Order: sequence, then structure tokens, then C-alpha cells
Amino acid sequence: MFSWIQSRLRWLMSSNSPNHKPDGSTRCREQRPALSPPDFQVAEFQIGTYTDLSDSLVTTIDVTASPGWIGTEINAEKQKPLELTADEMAWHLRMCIEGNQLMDQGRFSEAAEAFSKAIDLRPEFPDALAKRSICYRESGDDAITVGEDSTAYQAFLRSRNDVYRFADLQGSLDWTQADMLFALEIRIAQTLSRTGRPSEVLDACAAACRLLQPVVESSPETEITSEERSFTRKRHRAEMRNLRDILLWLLKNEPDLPTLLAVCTGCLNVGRTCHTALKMFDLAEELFDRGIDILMRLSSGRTRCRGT
Amino acid sequence: MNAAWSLQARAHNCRGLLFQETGHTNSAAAEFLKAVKLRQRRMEIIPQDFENQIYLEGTYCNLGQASLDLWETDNAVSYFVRSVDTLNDLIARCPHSFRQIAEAFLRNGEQGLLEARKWQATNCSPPELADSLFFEEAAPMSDSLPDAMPDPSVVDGSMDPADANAWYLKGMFHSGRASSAIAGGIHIHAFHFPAAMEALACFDKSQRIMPSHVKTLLAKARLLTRLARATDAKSKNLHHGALRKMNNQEASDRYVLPIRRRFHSYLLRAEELLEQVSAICPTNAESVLLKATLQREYPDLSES
Repeated sequence: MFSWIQSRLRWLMSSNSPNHKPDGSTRCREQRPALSPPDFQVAEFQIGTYTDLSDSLVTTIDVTASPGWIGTEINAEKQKPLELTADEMAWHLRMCIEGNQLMDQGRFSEAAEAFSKAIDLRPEFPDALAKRSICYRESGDDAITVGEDSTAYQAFLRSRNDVYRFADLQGSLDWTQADMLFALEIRIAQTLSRTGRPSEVLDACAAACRLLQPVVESSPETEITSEERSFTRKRHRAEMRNLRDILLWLLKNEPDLPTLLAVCTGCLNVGRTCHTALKMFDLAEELFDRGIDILMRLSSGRTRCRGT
Repeated sequence: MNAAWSLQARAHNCRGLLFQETGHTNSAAAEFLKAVKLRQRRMEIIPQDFENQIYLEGTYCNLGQASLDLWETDNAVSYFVRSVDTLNDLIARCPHSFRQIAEAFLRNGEQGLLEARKWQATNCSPPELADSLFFEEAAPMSDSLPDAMPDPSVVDGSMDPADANAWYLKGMFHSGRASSAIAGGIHIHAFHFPAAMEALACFDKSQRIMPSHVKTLLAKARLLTRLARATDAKSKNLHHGALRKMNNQEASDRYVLPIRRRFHSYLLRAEELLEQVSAICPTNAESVLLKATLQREYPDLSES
């Protein structure tokens, strides 16, 4: 009886993990090249027009230290064959089920704890990672509503790390994860802006801008209904307004020259996406005007310097 | 600072594309020209900057499109020819990393050139219609305000430019003017576009100061809805006139394309504002009603 349970559990594991064959034996995981943040600076063309991306935000400021891009190395620990006892496996499954139930009840912090216990046993179980990232994000939103910005910030960071780990396990960043990361970067920037950390806000904005184009200008890989599409569009529009507000907040903090230029490029990137993908003409116009305004101010500053 | 010129050129190019898509073709052409000047200035200082040169030709391509929208086919052909010739030359000389983008611009330029030459060959000169296609160039209209309407300049002196509500009120004055262009007791125009434009500018300012000012959002949505209806009617009239004079269905369709774009953008802007109002105040009956009316009047456009 015990061996039957064991084989059944192994079979269950194999359906979710690429490392396990259906008969329960393990195989070496293929050594994938380490993931690096995708380069989203692809120039886009329209018929008869072009969109100038010559100076994108990523080239202006350093975002190489993109926090959260973790798990790039598949270490020996990760490649170790999964050897769980039947008790451990049962515990793992129990924690996953409990996490799901807590999630359904809207108790996200507790659900995240349950998934963490499950992940401790099986660090490569993608479902638990994906769900824990959602729980962290939701608990971060809950923390914001009660005014706990530092708790929210930590929750969003954890959520972001889980999404990157999930992407690392999958070997790619699909639309759903990119969309979640895009929203997370904006949440992180918003939370940081309330605690007054402009340089980190700028980093988060830069990361959001990198994700802007693939997320807003493309659709999920899976089929979605028109209601879902409409909802996603509305959500993206709201995120664009948030991004605009953060960029404007950065301008209020007496920024230095590199920050000014970065904010300007941010305005242009966000404005361009608002115009081409979301048809938010008002916001696009405002952002282009802001960008031009910043550059005019810089030019006039230069003239004064020459005079002196 | 040279990098800032490049960035500024990009900003003007972006703004030009936005104007082009919303049917403000004259303004689009002016923005592209600004971008061209900035890129040329950079080219004088750093002639070996291939990226700048390639984007300069891309801007010429956009300028060609704007000229085509303005029915200046000769100018459009000359811009496209310049762009195509220079890009061919650049592709032969530029580093491999720039080739892909230059080739994409070249394809756009060649496509635009084909279209421009097609219209040049049809000899369809712009119809000299009584009414202009472009509102910016419309003949000045009587600016006399109806007796009951206070002069907005009176408001200017006392208003606080950082007060969203003041801009909203000023917008309302102009909005009232837009619907009240009366000469000798007879409505000479269904809609006074210049006054509407002034009202829009005031509402824009109010919205920028306070993005969630519901009264401004609603007033602007109402005005944009009226503008969309007026533009729709105007484009149909112009199309009818152009068809009679040009005797070419395709050419007259092309002729009214910018004004159709403008109509489309008014409608989309109105819908977006109503969406914003619904997000701020879900129970606002006026936004729900106006949205339903728009969807009923223009079901195809609303869905797109």
C-alpha cells in the first residue's frame, strides 16, 4: 500500500516537474543558458511612419542591476534529484491545498506562508511559486490600504522575485509574467515614491518602461474573451496614468541632469505606448509636452552657462 | 547636449505622429520639420553619427506622409525620393547594426513614394471647396459673443492659473461660445470650431492641474462628443463636394482621410474620459448615459 502511494505521489510530481519521468526515475535537467533581462528595445515600424526609439530609457540610466533578476545560475542544489519521502510529499501537497484554500478566502499573507512551506520542500515547483507571487502582491496591496508602505514594499519585492524564479524555471518570460512584473514595478515605484527614494523610484520606472512595449502592445499567448481584453486594456490605461504620476513626482524632487533626461525618455516611452497601443491621446500629448518642456529647460540652461 | 537634441527630435517626431493620427495634419508637418532641423543640426556637429542620419531620413518619410495628407503630392514625392535615395546610400555604408532599421525605413519610404506618385499621376488637384478641410486654416469667423455671455478675457485678469476650477469655468465660457455662433439671429454655423478648440485647451489645463476633476472630465467629454458629431457631418459634406469636383471615389476618400482621423480621435477621447469618470465615480449617471449614447450612435467605432 505504501509503495503504491509513493509511486502515485511520484507520478503526481512528474506531471509538474520536467525533471521526472512518469516511472518515477529522474533525469538530468538540461543546462539552460542563464536568463538575462530581455532586450525590449526593438524599433517598431508602422506603415509610412516610424517610431524613434533611438534614446530609450535603458540606455540613459543604468538598469543592469535590475533587482529581482535572480536565479540566473542553476546551481548544483537545484539540479539535485528530488528525493522526498512519502510523508514530505504528503506535507507538500497539504500545504499547497491549504494555500489554495486560504487564497480563495482572501487570506493572502497566510496563503503565502503555506506556499512558502511547500516551496521549502520543492523549490522547483512552479505552481506554488506562481501562486505565492500572487499572494505577496495581494498582501502588498492590502498593506497599502492600511498605510503600511514598508510592508507593502517588501511584499512586492518578494512577489517580483518569485515571478523571476518562475520565469527562470520555465526558461522564458511569457506575457502573463511580464504583465505581472510590469504592474509590480509600478507598485514598487509608487510605494518608494511615498517614502521618498527618487533613485530607486527611477530604477523601478525604468524596469516598468522596459516591460511596457511587450506587455501593452501584445496580447496573452492564450485565448481571451473580449471582456477580459477590455478589462486588461482598462487596467493598462490605469497603469499608464500611475506611471505618468510617478514620472511627475520625480520631476518635483529637483532632479539632476541624468535623472531629468531619464524622466524625459520615460515620458516619451510612456507617451508613445499610450498613443500607439492604447489610444490615450490626451495623456500621450501631455507626456510629449512634458518631455519637450524638460529639454527646452535644459537647452536654455546651457545657453546661460555659455553666457557666463 | 547633443544627445538632448536627438531626444528632442524624437519628442517632436512622436508629437508629429500623434497629431497625424488625430487629423491635425498641419501641426504634424510642423513637428516633423522641427525634428528634421534638430537632426540636421546634430548631423552638422557629428557627421559620422549613422543613427542620427537614419532617423533623419525616417523623419523625412513621415514628412512625406504628412504632405500627402495635405494633398501636396509634389512635396510628398520630393521628401520620399530624398529619403529613399539617402537611405539606399546609407545602407551601403553604415555598420551592420544599423542596417535593419535603415532597411525598414527604406521599405516605408518606397511604399510612400509609390502612393505619392500614384496620386501625382491622377492629376487630382485639391478641390477648392468653399469650406476648408483643415480647421486651423478656416476663414476667421465672427468672434462676437452672444449678449448674455460674459467676455472670457474678463475672467483672465482675475483667475489663478494654478486653479483647475478656474480653467474649467473658462472652458465652459468658450464651450458656450462654440454652440452659440449666431449672426443676425440666424445660425450661420452648426458649430464654432475655433471656440471649441479654445475650450478644449482650457479643459486640458484644468485636467493637468487636477486629473480627477470630474466636472472638467464630463464637460470635456460632452464637448468632444459634439465635436465628433460636427466633424462627422463636416467630413461627409466635404467628401460629397470632393467627389463632385475630383470625380474619383478613391481620391475623395483619401482627401477626407485626415478629417476622419480627427473624428475618430474625438470619439475615442470622449469615451476615454467617460471611462475615467466611471472609474472615479461609478454612479455618475451622466457618464453612463453619454457612453451608452455614443455606443448607440457609433457602434462600429466604439468597438474598434
